[in-house]
Amino acid sequence: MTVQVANGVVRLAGHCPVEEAEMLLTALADGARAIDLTDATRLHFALVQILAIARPAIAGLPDEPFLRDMLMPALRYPD
Amino acid sequence: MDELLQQFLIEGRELVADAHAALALLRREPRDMSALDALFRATHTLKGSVALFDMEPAEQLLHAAENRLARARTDEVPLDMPSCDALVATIDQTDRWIDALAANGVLAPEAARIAVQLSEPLAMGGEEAEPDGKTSASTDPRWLDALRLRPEFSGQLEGAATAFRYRPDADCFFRGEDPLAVVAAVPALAAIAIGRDGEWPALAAHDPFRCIAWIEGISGADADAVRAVFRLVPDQVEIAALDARDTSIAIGGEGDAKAASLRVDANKLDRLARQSGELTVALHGLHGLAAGVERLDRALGAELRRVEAAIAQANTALRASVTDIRLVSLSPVLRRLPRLARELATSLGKDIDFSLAGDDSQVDKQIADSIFEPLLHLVRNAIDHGVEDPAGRVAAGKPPRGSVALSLAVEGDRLAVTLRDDGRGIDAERIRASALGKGLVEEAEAAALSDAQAQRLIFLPGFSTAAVVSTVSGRGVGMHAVLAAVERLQGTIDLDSAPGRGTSFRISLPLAAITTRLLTVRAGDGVYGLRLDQIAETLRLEAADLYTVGAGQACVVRDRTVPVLDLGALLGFAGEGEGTARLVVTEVTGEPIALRVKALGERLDALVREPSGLLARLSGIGGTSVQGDGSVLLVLDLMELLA
Repeated sequence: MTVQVANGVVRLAGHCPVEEAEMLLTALADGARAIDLTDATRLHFALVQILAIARPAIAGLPDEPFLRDMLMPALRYPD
Repeated sequence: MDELLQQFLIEGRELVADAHAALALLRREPRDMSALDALFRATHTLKGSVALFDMEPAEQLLHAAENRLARARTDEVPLDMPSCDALVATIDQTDRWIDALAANGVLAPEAARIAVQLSEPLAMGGEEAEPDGKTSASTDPRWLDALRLRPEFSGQLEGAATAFRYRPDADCFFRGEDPLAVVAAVPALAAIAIGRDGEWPALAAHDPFRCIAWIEGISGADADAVRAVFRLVPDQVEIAALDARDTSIAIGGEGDAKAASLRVDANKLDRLARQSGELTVALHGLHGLAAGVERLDRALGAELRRVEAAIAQANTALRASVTDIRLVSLSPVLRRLPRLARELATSLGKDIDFSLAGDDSQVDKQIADSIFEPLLHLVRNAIDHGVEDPAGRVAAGKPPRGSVALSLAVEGDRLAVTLRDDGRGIDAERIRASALGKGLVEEAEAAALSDAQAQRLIFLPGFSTAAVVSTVSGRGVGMHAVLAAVERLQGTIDLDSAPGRGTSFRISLPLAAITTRLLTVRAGDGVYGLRLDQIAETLRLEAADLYTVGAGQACVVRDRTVPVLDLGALLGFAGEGEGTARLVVTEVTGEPIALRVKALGERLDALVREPSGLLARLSGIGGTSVQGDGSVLLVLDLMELLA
């Protein structure tokens, strides 16, 4: 389980494959207000699209260099 | 003329030149991606530009060319020779339409028919495929322009070599593809952008297993390295090399690729050159003054000399900069030559491979302005008289396609221009006979000439019979006109011809600005410049020394009777009348003629420009020179005026 929700924060960790897109969508649609990417190492593009649509607040920036330096600016994080 | 149109005429022609340069590369290497991208850009920008004017057929034709190129870029239908030929024809036709727009403001009625005819070969090799959003985007070349403006890439374009636009299929997730993982593998990735055409959907309406977004990125790696990453999804990606021009666009923030440069009126440049010359003259005065002061007060004199030396140094640098600014590339000037060569070859039923090399050589603007006409003439001669028709060539044991190669190169402070053809060559014996027949040489004289000397007889005035009337200057015909034009530019022309094997002309021209020694005179209502090399001497005679011969006047100069003509009257003003006569004696017609002027002025070194516009149609005007105060001095051509 790499998608976890606690206290309104969705935590993505490790390698997050396409199958987790639906779970992420549901969590955000159900009112999760922020997302923590600190331990995420890989995000499938299906999840990235959901972040682009929902634009949740960021509770933690990813440590992984590609996600931090390439993906986050592309999603206009931090704003 | 409307400013927008004026701008278009300049830039449209530059784009035509860019397109031809890329096409020349593609003919050699049809898979040269950077040439393909350059051609695509030029075609796309041209299409956008012609849309601003009443040029609908051009827009349609360029649209067809653009689609063809888009298919070549995605490797769907690679370029073949017939496609290259069709693209050359498209660009040539666009060039003609630009000329037509400049001349008439509209395209001829048959333009629509021509556009349809030329688009047909472009549409072959696959239909215009736009089955879904994906392919229509790949035929949309605006992505690169849009990409450059994205904030995600601002400040990053300078170091980037390649841009890509990846539009994954909507159902790519089902095939197990992860577009972000693909992009993460791009070498030397500098930045990415993620977006979507149109609004993002509401979260509730989004199907998480459909791919609805695209990824764009820039990389420091070259296009081939980036393409390798996308090898499994070639139909979903577009890749383009970012060259230096793209960087300047990003810096300029404007859609104009040449934002960093400035177009300057050539007159202003001449004026700047003239003013820097005047500064030099003023410095000479200061030099004398410093010497005088030094005799009176050594310390003050030395101080003044130091200041003088500093100004002189700055002035030398200024002159070097002015010389440098005046250097322009020859490519805009020569851009018409390949097209004209192809047209002429077609009209004469010849098959010719015309090549142009070194046209990016930089020369002084004056040389660039004057070089086209003589070169066009030489090219015409090579195609018309040099290269045989295909049957003749095969009979002579040569390939049916003739070759005409024009190459330019900077050698030291000279521009070396070589035009070589592999045609029939110049038969010295026929030239001798022809010159004899026309009474240009005596029999004994002709017999004494070596073959190389006899070949040079083609430069004699009156030699050319197959006169190709020069369309631009309207002056002179034949090889004599070429020689005269080259000599006007202080150049030389050599000729080397082997009968049966071909001819090569070698022209050497100075690279730097050519100043002409002028004498200014007052005549009629104005001040005119006369070229000092056309003046034998100046005289001042009392009225009594002029006498009437028939309807005119004459005077005696060193025991020779010399006719006196009034320069003002020759120029259409009233004559000078009585009193002391100031005369300028010229021998340009072979015999001395004295020209009466109101007053003699100063001698100066000036940049003389070829007359243009209305002035070019007035006989007797040899050029114009911009004075230090910005006024324009008309320079008379006595040879024409007295002819």
